[in-house]
Amino acid sequence: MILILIRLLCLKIFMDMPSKTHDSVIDDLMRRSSKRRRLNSVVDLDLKRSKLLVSMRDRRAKSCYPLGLRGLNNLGSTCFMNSVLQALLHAPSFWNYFLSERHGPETCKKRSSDHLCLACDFGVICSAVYSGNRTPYSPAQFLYSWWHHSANLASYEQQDAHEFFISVLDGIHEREGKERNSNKDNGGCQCIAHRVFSGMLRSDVTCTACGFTSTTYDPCVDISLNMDTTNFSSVDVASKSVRPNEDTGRSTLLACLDLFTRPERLGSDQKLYCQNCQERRDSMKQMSIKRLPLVLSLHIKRFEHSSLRRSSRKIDWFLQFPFSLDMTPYLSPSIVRNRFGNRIFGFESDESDISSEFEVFAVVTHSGMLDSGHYVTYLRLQDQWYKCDDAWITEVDERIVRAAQCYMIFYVQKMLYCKANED
Amino acid sequence: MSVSNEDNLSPHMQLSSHFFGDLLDSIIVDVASECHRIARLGLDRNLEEEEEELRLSAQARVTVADPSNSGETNGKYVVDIFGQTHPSVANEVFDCMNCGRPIVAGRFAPHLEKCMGKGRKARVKATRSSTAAQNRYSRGSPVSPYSPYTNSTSTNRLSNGTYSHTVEEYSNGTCEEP
Repeated sequence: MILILIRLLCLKIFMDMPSKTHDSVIDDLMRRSSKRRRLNSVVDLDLKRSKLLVSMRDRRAKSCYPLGLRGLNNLGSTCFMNSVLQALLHAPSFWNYFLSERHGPETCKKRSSDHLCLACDFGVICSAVYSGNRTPYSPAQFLYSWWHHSANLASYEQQDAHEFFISVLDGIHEREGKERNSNKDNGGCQCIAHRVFSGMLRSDVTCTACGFTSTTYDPCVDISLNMDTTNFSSVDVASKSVRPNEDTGRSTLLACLDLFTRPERLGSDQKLYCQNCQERRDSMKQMSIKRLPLVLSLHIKRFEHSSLRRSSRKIDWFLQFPFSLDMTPYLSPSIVRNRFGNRIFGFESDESDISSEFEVFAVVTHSGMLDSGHYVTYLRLQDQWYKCDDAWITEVDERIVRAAQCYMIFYVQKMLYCKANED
Repeated sequence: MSVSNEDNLSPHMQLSSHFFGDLLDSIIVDVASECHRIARLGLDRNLEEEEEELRLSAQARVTVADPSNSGETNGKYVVDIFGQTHPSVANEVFDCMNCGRPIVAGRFAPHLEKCMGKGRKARVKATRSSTAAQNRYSRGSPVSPYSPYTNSTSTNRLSNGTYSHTVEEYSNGTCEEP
């Protein structure tokens, strides 16, 4: 009862006057609640706080369009960066965190010797984009910081958006992780990047001789999916002129997820040690999802490398993807149950804190050839789709998005999507 | 397995066709009971939603492919939703955080590359060693403990290319200075 009163008092205080000191009070309160409640409460607070800060901004902004829509200038072949930034800037509970100034220059203890922090710089972009100013913003400082962080990727030449995405999350984790994980009471990294994007994959390796299965768990911040090429013959794949359309077979995101969770026979050069047989055996491997993240990032592997011809090619095929995605069939309980013909039950708790229904909120598309192409992001805000093409933000019909060539698709849990969109 | 022929079959063949019948029956029952289980447990409850998504997607492709639907304006000469137009090369000017010189936004990346001494051209100029070529072709994924299951993200890259001017990777010294 007293806990609730204190919480309300703190909420009232920082609603009136946002300040950093109250974070520690809130954090204390949060630590005492259960894990589930803590996650939701922190997310709720961020949502409320960021909405408040957003509403206090410049009212001269064109108010018919949602705040947070702002073009990003291309600094010279940087559309790979702009496209991913747009998706991150609209990832529910991710942007709210930065806008609530929970990571800011004042609190940032982990500045490296060159005073660079990707998380701080992202926070700056966040504030700029949600400020109400609609002139395109140049994320130059972010590019500079990122090149320092990812020295091996630092060059003015072609870059891959997915690589950039992983690298940015890694950079933010590095800056955040150390100060956030001092408690270590939770297991798993508590930095904002992992709290929002990290899920858990389960890998079952079964010995084909005795049936013994060994299970391992690995965290992941996204899932890279191979396109299902079984509809196409190898001749078609080799020929560059084939353009599969709706008639010659169609690949869907669900088919890619099926492929991802399908049992795979490991090659004879990949014999794994079976504890039961006490020797190396041919094995089958099957992936499934143990825990879904708040924001599910799916990456479509459109790159095809042909070792015969020593060349690389982009797979241009259309991939259908749903706007509403139910991940239940790809969760570990479903996959394992299916392995036994759906006859077994209750070996694991089927309930999870996190629901498996997702809604899409951002799609990064790539058009053009492998060596010269262009990235564009489509954002869904309050049921309207916007095209973010570097500095140009335009409204588009949802059919344009459905027909686009997706490269990275960002889904958020339906509950969070609905909450983020209520206004 | 036709009944009329049964009298003509040897006992041996009758037995084997009996076995075959039993095997076939048990396979059919197995598949049928699994389908029934799936339907009864509601494990396929999303079939309608999935079909709806497929239908919408197919419809969208037809609409977009139709040349008379110029719903999407390509190119950089459009007005954005806020009523603004922008030049194809961003013309905002700001100071480079490395050297302090004022740089045009659209040329910032190539400038920064030289300025920071990174990138292929800068490295080749500076060291003239084989490590420059190595760096260009062996860009691996950033080291991160959180993506162990993918083999290599470096083999699945899609590059974005030139933007309003060519990347002069194979020419010597004719690059534009900002």
